[in-house]
Amino acid sequence: MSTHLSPEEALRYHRQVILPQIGEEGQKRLQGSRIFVAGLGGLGSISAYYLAAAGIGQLRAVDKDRVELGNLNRQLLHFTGDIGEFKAESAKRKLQSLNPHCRVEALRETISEDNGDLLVGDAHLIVDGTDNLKTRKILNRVSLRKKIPFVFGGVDGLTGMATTFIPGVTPCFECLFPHGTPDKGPPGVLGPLPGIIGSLQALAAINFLVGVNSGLLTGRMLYVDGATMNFKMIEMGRNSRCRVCGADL
Amino acid sequence: MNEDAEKIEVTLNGFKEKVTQGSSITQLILEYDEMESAMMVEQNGRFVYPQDYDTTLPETGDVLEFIHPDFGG
Repeated sequence: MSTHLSPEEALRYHRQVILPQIGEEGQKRLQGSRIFVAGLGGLGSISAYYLAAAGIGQLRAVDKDRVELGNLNRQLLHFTGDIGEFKAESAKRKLQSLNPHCRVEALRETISEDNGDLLVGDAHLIVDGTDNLKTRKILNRVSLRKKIPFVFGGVDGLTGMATTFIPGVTPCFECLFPHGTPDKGPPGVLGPLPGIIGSLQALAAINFLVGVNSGLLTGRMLYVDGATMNFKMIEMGRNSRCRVCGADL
Repeated sequence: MNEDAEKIEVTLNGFKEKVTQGSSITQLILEYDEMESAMMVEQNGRFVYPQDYDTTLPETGDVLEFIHPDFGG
């Protein structure tokens, strides 16, 4: 991994490197970072795109599905010509083309309790782009076991939410959602909602990696209502009775 | 619900509502037919954990939100 910015990289990242919160030091941190993106659908399309564009050194993204026509209103990494192709391959091609400095590993896998630890590997951060509760619980437990922050995002209809779970510091996903939820089938969703939430997740991830600690969404859930354009924060303390992480309180 | 019980005013999902004083969050969830196992409850901007629903008794002026969380991607 290169630890300096080439002239081409300096130009590519100039508009973010001139930010005092990033600077050349921050850019080098991004360059040396490894991120695991779980899912390459509505959320993962957007977060992975911004993360690659920002110059993250290594992105490992996992999705088992193929691109379908009905994905294209919101999954902006995939195009009409990609229908039928695995999302992992479609995404890898776009991300690599966007930024050849970002090492993209895209895997066609189903995230399970058996392979979660292996898939996440030695990532610095897990970014959630999944579409179900079960996979989020698996990622939550990997996050806790490996002490890797987990940037959660979810959308449904015209609403969305995001927060960052930091093991030992914030509540975990199962502090908030200890129960299952009835399977209501795929929710309706308007493309800009996963766009907003996926962008916020990418921003929280970048903030974490460069040390902008005020911008992590820790201990608070950002809730976006696209029907009213209201954005609000819900404060969250740790749950001492969480059966997954409560024991370490 | 006891018709004679004293009522307090809270804001529930954006609307002023008169609810029975001493009602717990659990009772309000049932009364307002908001039951969903993964639902989030916000009281005055703070998340209320499910295990605290029975013992959390809203007071006059409280702002409550029952939020159905978003798990799509």
